[in-house]
Amino acid sequence: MAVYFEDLQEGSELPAMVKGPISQVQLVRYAGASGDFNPIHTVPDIAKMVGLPGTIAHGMLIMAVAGQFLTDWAGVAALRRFKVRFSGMTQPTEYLVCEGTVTRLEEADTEGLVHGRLTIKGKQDGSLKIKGEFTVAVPRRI
Amino acid sequence: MVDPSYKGKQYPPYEFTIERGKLREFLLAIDEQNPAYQSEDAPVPPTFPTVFTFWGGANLEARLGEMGVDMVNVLHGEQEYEYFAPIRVGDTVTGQTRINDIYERKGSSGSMQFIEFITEYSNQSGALVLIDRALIIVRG
Repeated sequence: MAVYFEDLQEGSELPAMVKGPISQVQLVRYAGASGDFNPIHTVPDIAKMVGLPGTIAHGMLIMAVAGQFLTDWAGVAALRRFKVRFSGMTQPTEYLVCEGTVTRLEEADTEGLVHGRLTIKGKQDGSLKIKGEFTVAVPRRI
Repeated sequence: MVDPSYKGKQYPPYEFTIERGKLREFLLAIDEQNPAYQSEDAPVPPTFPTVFTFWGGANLEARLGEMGVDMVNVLHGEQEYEYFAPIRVGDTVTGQTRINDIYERKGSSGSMQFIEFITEYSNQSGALVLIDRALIIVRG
């Protein structure tokens, strides 16, 4: 179902999304797909050697989840700007909760720009994984 | 300690052609099932450009290694994308990376260094399609 500019206002919430669990196999898959073979994501012994609790998810995998959260809502061609700060580590077995809010609306000719912010938190412990900002272009009803 | 004289460094451009199979592999890895990504000229998902970096020849491990930084000691601090035009299966993008900034911050767990890479991507028609800003944190 399409989102229209007129249906949104400052403070509108995006439909929440839960994703997961992140698995070790998924991290191996993501390493190959993305080409980021940093072993802290795939080799538990190396992750521990550098002081991590074990392998951790690629930050970009968590940003990809945030991307899906946005495109499920606004469509796959809507994003104009997308920025995240990686705040906390995600370990295999974790579930992720995505939440977002519209912060500002900006009118343009045939479409509207919608600015907002989002977070992804761990479902089990509520720990912050990423905090982000986005701008999407959505159609107007006129 | 990262040598601050790397600030402003420009890397040689690199190319990446978006193949359908690579897109499918990425979609499986991120558990993305949206049918909009299944067509022959499908758009790529928002974070797919990370594939351009790693598979397009922008060898991050080598870039960091040259600066004396081991890949296992870095964290990805921030990532930003600005999208200017659609990027689709079949497109060939050219990326041009520079180091926009190198700086140091003192935190509770000692000092950390930050390296900001900016990459501008144009497509086969020469149009700017994407600006990618990546902030890399060097631990210790």
